Amino acid sequence: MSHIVTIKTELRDLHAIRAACRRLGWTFVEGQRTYAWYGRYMGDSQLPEGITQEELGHCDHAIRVPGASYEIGLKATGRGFVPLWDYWMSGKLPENAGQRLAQAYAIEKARMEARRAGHSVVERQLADGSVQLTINA
Amino acid sequence: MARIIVTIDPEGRATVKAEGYRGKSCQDATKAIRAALGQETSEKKTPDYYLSEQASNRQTAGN
Repeated sequence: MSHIVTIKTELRDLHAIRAACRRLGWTFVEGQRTYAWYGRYMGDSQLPEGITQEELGHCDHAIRVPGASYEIGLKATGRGFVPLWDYWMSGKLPENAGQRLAQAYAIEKARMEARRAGHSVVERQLADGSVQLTINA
Repeated sequence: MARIIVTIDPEGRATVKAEGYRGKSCQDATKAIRAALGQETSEKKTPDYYLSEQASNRQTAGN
């Protein structure tokens, strides 16, 4: 071992986003331009970086989560897709929906890259909720 | 055997490390996967990095 790099996951690949949704049991809806939410920004939560209040409710793709009446919107930005969602009140979306999506995406994206290079992957769930992929080069 | 270990935490942050590579070759080995995942926020070279670099330099010098 000689080199460790930490990476902030960016949702850039629709194939991996689709695979992440399958992994989570969520439904990816390509091209859905609005997502269900409360409908009005109350100023009680921080807006994602680069997203304005007026952009809330609008997206390029959407994700449906079983049992939730609200949806997750994916908004295209220069840094990939930013997930937008409203976890307040009765929407029943998990507060950590964006983090869960990012984790599932990173797992799927890393697996895809390993497969592309012809490497085998062993996946292991760790006690702290992390997922470890061992890629045999 | 050389391998790459990717750990993704519950917040979606990924840590990529290479094992069994010598010196800079590990950076080449993980390049594609690092680029695919997103934006690098930090980088740390462990003592092995320098040791193995020195080892390969010594070998070169000896040859």
